[in-house]
Amino acid sequence: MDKLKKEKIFFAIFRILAFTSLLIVLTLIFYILSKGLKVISLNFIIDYPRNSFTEGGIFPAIVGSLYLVGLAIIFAVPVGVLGGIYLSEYTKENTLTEAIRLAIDTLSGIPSIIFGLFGLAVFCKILNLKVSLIAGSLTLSILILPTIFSATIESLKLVPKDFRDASYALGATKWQTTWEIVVKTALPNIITGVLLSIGRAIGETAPILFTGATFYTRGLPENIFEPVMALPYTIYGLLAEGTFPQKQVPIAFGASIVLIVLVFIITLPGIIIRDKFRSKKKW
Amino acid sequence: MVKISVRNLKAYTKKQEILKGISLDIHENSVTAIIGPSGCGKSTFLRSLNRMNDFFEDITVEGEVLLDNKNIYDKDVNVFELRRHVGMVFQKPNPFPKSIFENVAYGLKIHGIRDKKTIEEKVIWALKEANLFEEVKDKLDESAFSLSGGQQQRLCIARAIAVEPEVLLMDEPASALDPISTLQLERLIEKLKKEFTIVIVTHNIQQAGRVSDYTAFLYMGELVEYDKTERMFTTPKNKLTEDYLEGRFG
Repeated sequence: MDKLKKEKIFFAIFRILAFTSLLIVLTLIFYILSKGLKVISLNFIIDYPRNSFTEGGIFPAIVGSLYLVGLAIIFAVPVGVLGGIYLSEYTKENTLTEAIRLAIDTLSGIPSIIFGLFGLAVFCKILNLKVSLIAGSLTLSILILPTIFSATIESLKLVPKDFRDASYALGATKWQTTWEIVVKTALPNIITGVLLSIGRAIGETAPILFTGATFYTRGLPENIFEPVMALPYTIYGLLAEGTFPQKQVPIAFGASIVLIVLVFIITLPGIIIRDKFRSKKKW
Repeated sequence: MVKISVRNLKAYTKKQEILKGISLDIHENSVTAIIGPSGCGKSTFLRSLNRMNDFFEDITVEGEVLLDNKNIYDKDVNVFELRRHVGMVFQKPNPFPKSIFENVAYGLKIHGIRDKKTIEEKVIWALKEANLFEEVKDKLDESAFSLSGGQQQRLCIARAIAVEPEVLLMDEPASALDPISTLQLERLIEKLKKEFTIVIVTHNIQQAGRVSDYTAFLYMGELVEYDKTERMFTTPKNKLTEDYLEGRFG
């Protein structure tokens, strides 16, 4: 077979494969929209569920999800970002740092249900936080910690040595160079990493399954020691345990649409910042 | 007058000697060129004058570098203060990802200057000194990366001189520039030597001939010859120097 013909055949195969992935995404979105769009309205977003979750809206689930990830970010960002800065800028390569890196890589590969079990054992039982907003968000924070950690380290690694040299040559200290030059340069990438991890955390069901989420609450949580409703758990509950499928399945799909839109809204700035940063980057 | 006196300077790693005992005097308000083939230790020599070699853990430096008669390797020397007095410009233009103004202001800020008016005055002064002000005066808030390579390098020079060093080290500052930018840079060096003592490492023998008052020829970590540039380029004393200057090796 001549080379040109071979190339054409392979390119055709690649093109089909590329379109397949696009097609899967489109089908998925179309399917969810077709099942759930009819329940979407303003009330669906700002109303409480009524009549055993066969009517009304999913407001407390939206708020609960935002509370969960909001708190998770408050716990995970300082640890992940500062830890990443420390490991990348202030330590030399040795067995200990290598072990920390390995631990982080391993953590990010662990299935999220394991984090759920860990949260149940440590936060709910040992620390006696029971099923609560705080236990759920702590569990989520451990889930996203490795992502934030790695994103920070990778972003810092991308800062060219030239910048550091220039700073030191002006008489800057390590502290000044790290904060004024290195971290500032890496910040857009770090923020992107954090936003992408929020996008992931808000859709996770398994970590909050035993630790923070509940199927139904009368109102919004009054303090962090109460369980909360959460979008992914609501979807799961309505589909798995709902007793009025005709009315509840569309609500579950409606909640799915809200969840997808929410993930999109959170992730989008991250993607925009990253693209802007990439186009501006000239070193 | 002698500004920097280098006494028996040695630099080595576990595997090799990079500088094998170099002694020379660098004169105030003059340009001293360091020339020699790749790997002769030019850059290591230059970086030992502001202790930038401190960052290479495997390099050990011995000997003395006396700046105004004070050994910069003494224990009581504040290395950050030292680098303020001995500025450096690198091979590749390396402005920070900040605005033109902020690039020059950075050095002032890290040395504790907070007064906005003082900072502004010094930034403008430095940009003028670096022959860049006329080209950038209307876009001081734009990113430094919007400048051409030659302008970026002059910005780096402005950044280095803003903190008012006494000595300016330049590590092949023109090697990434086009001929016109190189010419502008050489003119700038000519002008700056009135206020600063300049040490420039260069690959380019003609450039050394054009800009420098003194030339040191390094070969395999040793100082082969050190003299007034005029003198060395017309009547080199050493056969090796003569061969290098005539381009027989490089």
